[in-house]
Amino acid sequence: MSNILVKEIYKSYGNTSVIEDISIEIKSKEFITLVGPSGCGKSTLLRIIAGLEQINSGKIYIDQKDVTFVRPSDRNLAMVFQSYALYPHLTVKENMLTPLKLRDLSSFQRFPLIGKYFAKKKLEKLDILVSETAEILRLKKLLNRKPGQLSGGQRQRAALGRAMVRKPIAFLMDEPLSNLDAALRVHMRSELSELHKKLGITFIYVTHDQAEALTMSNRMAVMMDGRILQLDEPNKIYSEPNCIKVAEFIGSPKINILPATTDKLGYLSIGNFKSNFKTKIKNTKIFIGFRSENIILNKKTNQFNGRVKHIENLGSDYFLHLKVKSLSNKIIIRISQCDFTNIKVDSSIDFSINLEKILFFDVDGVRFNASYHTFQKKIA
Amino acid sequence: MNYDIGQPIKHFLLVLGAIIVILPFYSMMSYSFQSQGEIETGKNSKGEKAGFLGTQEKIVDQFCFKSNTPEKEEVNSLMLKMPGKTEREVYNILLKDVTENCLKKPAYMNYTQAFTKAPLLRYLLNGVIVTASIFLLQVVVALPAAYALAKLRFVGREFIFTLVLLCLLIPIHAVALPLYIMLAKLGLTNSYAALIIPWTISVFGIFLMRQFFMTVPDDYIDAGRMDGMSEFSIIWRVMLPTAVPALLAFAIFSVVAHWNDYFWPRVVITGDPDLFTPPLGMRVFKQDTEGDLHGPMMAVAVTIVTPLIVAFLIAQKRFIEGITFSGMK
Repeated sequence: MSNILVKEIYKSYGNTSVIEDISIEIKSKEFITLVGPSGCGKSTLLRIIAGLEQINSGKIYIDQKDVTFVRPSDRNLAMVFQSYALYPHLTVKENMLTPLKLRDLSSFQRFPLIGKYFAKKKLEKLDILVSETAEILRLKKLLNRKPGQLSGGQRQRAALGRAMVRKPIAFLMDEPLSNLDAALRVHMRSELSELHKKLGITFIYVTHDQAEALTMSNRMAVMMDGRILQLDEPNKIYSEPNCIKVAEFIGSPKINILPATTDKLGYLSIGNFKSNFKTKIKNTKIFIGFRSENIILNKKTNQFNGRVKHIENLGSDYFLHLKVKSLSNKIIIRISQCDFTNIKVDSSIDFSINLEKILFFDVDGVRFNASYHTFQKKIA
Repeated sequence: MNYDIGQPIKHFLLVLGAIIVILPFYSMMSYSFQSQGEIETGKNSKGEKAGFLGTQEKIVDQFCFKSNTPEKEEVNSLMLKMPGKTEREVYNILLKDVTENCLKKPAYMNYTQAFTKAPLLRYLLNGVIVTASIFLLQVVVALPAAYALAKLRFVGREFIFTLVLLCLLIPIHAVALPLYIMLAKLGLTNSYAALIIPWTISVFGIFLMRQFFMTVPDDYIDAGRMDGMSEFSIIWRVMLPTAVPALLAFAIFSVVAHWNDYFWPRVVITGDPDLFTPPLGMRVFKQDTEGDLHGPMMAVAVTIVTPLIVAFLIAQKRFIEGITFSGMK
């Protein structure tokens, strides 16, 4: 069904380029997330797909039709804004009716005051559409309220309702949850996922919050500086990022990146610690990355000793910020509640890195497979 | 106890300012209740002080007296009924009658004269027609212009906005003559058009609305576009409702300025008194040779000002309530 294809688009404001050569194919019914730090061009890309921004070059296709120069409303996409942008002078119902009226009624039938008497039948139909949508979103009781009388979550649902009534071929969402409080945001994450399953419509979701991207999407595109760095399933992005930037952006706490070297036989050494871990590359400077959970405490195998500089209590887990003498970078490790015993700031901690799970990056930050162990099968 | 001398001084200055502002209104109200003599001397014929409401000592209505002065025929017909009296005596009897009939309380007299000698209702109607038309047309012009200047990207936008700002600096009196000549050549003087057309483009309105629209989040406009609105629908269906507080502020400026305007109507309405706006109504009582009739004149002034004050009091509440951007976060 719906299939959105973005082909080699460029976009710049004056001399500043915001989007550089982005191509992306969005499959029908998929939940795709565009994620990246602010200013990376993710919202611009969304607005380009919506038709709210013109592009300098490139093409956009929806269902194989070239829509590059088609008006936003004629693309049959719906957008949910970060600020919701509900018309403040209209009730929820009127807000939801607006896109329908503009689509289905002639300009004469939309004429203020008298127009409605000439479109009674059509209006009745539209009312049914609105109440159906309101049913799905549990908005029925709120239909006659104005946006000002709604709570944040209710406004969110009303905005979704206005987007849904038209039965668009795709939903575009621009950070829709960022105005909600933390608890509600987590709740809405699962609601949105459920809604996606229920409606079976393409969702294109923009966020700077990697947790939202990881939890909800089928695929996610990590964007930086106007480019898509990686487009893949969330778990792949987490476990196999293709460069340091992606690795650092995804995952909380941030991945630990350390400079390392290999000797002439290919053995890896990190700081002072020479491992017996053999890599395919010899005599090179590289970077290694490992997630905070890929650490084993108090094992005397490949040893590091660090001093606790800072402790973050997350309830279920603790993040320890460690300073290791031989390493310039701080290291963050995650330990679970039950392992957390008697650790204070300035405590000394022995730990080792789970070398099996290490990611290798060359000096330019591009990941490569260096391990004989973990990625052997794939290399073959 | 820490006694702050600053506070009483501040209040004193504020009260003084208030008095200075209110005093002319006080005089206007007070004079509109008083007779000419009371206005000029502050006392009535018995020497009593007039006060705010005047003494309301009955005086002769000059207009009434003049129009009812006994005529020859009346005197003659009465002489037949009163034999033995001279023409002079009969005339005096009639005159006394007229004088008594024309004795009125000054307040009543001033206001009735205001509404009868000057067709004030007609003038008020003219005023309503003119100010309402001006305001509506100003909105019709200013909203799209302000929207374009605030929200659309096009070459020369900043330049045009600079022009708008520059136009704010031009006083009307500087362009009054060219405007008048233009209207005269088009044969439009002495018409509603002459009163309305020069004011339809309000640079102040454009500026004010542009500044306001700058604060309206772009998301509303994008939402409108996604919903399928044309740019003009966005202006009337999205921007206008959010701009109600700003429009009210502009309405006050516009309506007050044009309702009270004496200068421009005086320039373009030269003949037809049916087109007089309310302030021109005061001219009726400006009788250069016999001195002005201040009482009725002030009654006209009070009548003109009252609707404005009432309108302001009503609008003020709306001002404070305002429509906030409650649709946003």
